[in-house]
Amino acid sequence: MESNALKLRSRLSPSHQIPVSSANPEEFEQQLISTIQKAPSLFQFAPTILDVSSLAPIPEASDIQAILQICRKNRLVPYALTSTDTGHRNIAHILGLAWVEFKAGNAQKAPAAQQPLITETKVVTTPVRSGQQIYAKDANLLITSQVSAGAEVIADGSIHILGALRGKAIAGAQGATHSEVICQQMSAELIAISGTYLLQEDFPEGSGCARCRLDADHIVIDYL
Amino acid sequence: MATIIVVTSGKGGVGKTTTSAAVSMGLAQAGHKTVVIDFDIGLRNLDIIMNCERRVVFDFVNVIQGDASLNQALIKDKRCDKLFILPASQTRDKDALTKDGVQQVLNQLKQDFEFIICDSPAGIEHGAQMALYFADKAIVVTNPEVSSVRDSDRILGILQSKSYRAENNMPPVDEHLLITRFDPARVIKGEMLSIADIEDILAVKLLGVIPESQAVLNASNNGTPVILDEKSDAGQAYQDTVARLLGDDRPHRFTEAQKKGFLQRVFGG
Ligand SMILES: Nc1ncnc2c1ncn2[C@@H]1O[C@H](COP(=O)(O)OP(=O)(O)OP(=O)(O)O)[C@@H](O)[C@H]1O
Ligand SMILES: [Mg+2]
Repeated sequence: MESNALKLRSRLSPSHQIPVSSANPEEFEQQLISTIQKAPSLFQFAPTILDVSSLAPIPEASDIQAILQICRKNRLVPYALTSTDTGHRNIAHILGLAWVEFKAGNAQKAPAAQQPLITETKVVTTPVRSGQQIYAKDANLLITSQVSAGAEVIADGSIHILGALRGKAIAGAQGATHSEVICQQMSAELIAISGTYLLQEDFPEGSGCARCRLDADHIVIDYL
Repeated sequence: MATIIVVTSGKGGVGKTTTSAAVSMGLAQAGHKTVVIDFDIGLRNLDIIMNCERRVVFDFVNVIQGDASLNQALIKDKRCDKLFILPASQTRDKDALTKDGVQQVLNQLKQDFEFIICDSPAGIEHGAQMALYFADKAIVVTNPEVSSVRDSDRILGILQSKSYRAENNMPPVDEHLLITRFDPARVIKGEMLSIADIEDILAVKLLGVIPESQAVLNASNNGTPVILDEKSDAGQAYQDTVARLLGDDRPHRFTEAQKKGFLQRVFGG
């Protein structure tokens, strides 16, 4: 009899990458809590990669274990480590975590001068519907129609929407802090620019045409 | 050239089967040879609304699996000789529908029929995807409430990205919005979304508005597609819908709350 092999599906799903800047558990927890408070619903049981690049010398596995516990206590689901230093890899193995190659996603770290100039534009002419996701890699994103509630549009550069934005828009996905989200009718569920988020409930009063940009570490929405 | 029309919604119980029955009867009455296929495997009910449940011998899955020929499974409607029904199986599981199997049956039907109407099951899973995969046109059935509109939006996304037309870079599926169970009085009270709201959210052309109507229940209890109840509001709204599908330009009716008549004003109600 033939044995039943499992059907594998490879999938890409978004994760948070959280920088661990301190191996001191109390200090880390404080930082984590203040980050989560900015957008609690985003962090509910979110798959999370811990970036331990700045932990030098290489910490003990037990130190990272303590960090993991703090994450779980705060309803994150850490499943992998990453670091610029592959010397951290062994800790991932010891703790039964995945190891993922380092990817710079942290805007605050990347100085503006090093940000690549994004000149390409991806154009989408059909409505982006609930459940769909559009990603403009290394490009700006122009949507000539609308983005429904439950849809997600992501760009490494800026996002322009000529219709209504009712879903989520994530600009500067690789950390380009000067990215913006501009739409004709602002009813977004969430705006993110370069890793900083703002949820609908925290939007300023207003409606209609809007421009969203990053000012230092918070998102500004100007109604035009 | 045959046209394949899927009647779909995402959300359950919004009026897909009612619509499939009415539209297929309407097209057939207009002289177009039409077949309506029940994709809701396991839950047969198109045949009940069409009043042919006692005449089902073979079904869609039998044909796909080669246990019966198409001619053995097709049931001719007793009221209109241009209309045929391909019933669903009550007993088999949903995975019996395969892309290849469905395509073979549709190709065969295309040679004989002008319109092929696919009555989709609820949801966005396999059965619903099979029903819409080969469609040329889609009638997206939506009730005036947020969850139904949201599900319709999802189905529109699937039509755009996972249909045969989308996967083969052909012109997209021609999408039509049909608002059913519409009750203008409840819109005024703020209990239901307005037609303008729904059109704004979905950005799809409006094919018709079917009012909430007792006639639909009566019709399905009698096993008659409601379009045959020519005096009823829902029957007339479905007739307009079919006419528009065939290219007629008709104004939308039954979209405004009726002014209460004199007696109703005096006696309430
Ligand atoms: N315009 C209407 N007015 C009043 N009742 C309606 C109307 N349209 C549909 N109904 C009723 O709603 C119920 C569901 O209708 P129907 O079976 O056509 O929905 P469906 O979308 O096919 O459901 P399912 O998802 O289970 O296949 C039935 O009882 C039907 O009589
Ligand atoms: Mg049905």
